[in-house]
Amino acid sequence: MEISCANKHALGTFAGIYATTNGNGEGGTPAYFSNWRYQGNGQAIDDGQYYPSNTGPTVPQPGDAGQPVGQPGKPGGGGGWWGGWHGW
Amino acid sequence: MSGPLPPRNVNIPITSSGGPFVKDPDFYTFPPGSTLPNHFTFWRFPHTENYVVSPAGHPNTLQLTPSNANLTGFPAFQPLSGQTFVGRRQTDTLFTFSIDLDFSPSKTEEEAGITAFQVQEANAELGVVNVNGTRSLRFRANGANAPATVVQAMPQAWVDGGVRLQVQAINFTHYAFSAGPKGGNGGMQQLGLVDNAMMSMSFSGKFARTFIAGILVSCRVVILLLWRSRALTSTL
Repeated sequence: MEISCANKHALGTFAGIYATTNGNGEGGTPAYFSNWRYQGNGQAIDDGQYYPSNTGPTVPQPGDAGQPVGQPGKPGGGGGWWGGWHGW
Repeated sequence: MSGPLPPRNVNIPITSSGGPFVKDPDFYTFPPGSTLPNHFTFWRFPHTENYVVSPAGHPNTLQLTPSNANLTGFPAFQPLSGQTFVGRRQTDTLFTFSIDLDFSPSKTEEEAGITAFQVQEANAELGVVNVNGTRSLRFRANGANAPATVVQAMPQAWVDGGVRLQVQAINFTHYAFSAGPKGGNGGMQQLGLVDNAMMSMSFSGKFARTFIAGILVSCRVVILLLWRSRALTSTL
């Protein structure tokens, strides 16, 4: 039991979307989602210190519309479309 | 070893078939003919018919069909029944995840929205929900020390024009859930705040206890062996 809990909790957190009837049956009114955006705003490397997150795809992706206008990565930004990747 | 490092090469096969690098951001508009990217993740086996990109009459959207179970589930929940959810891993300490939603729930308790989800026992949502006939925004969290549920009627402009939902890791300790008009033209209003300790639950405690118990057992075995070996030598 302890071990299975430890394994389960090794999962990270997801950011996502969902739809449910809260127990009133499968199906029902569909939901239409659009403009899915996930932008990192910093990777903590020490107390109060953040390494900038990438602000664009390392390699252009099918279906990825690229950098959303008006949402620069903070703090610092990663250097734009191609310069966003920083190897350690 | 000396000399310049080889030039950076990111053109590995997986990237050309729909796989982003782990630190990359997302901006997906779900155009007709596109598919969900490889790094999008389901919870439970997905009922694929519940996830449709750009269905007829709704181009540039991802259509989700509600599941009976919500993200928390219930005691009689059968995992194979599925939970309509699609997400991506949190890959940054701080992040902003947002999405626009058009949803007209006709029956009470029909709900769709945005979530920070770890497991069924630890998750937080901000959704559009039909509360006894009133289109409402509901923030709800499930887990240890979960904050109180917040329900408020949705402004008519958002009912008519759609809503934007957002979850943000705003600092080292908290997720903030906000809503605003679709398209982001206008201010976002914060409805909920969750301590992210809820998303790690009792991991460190349980793990430490298991680990310490293991050491105690090991010590006892060693002491027992030493004692027995002494006992053996003394009888010889």
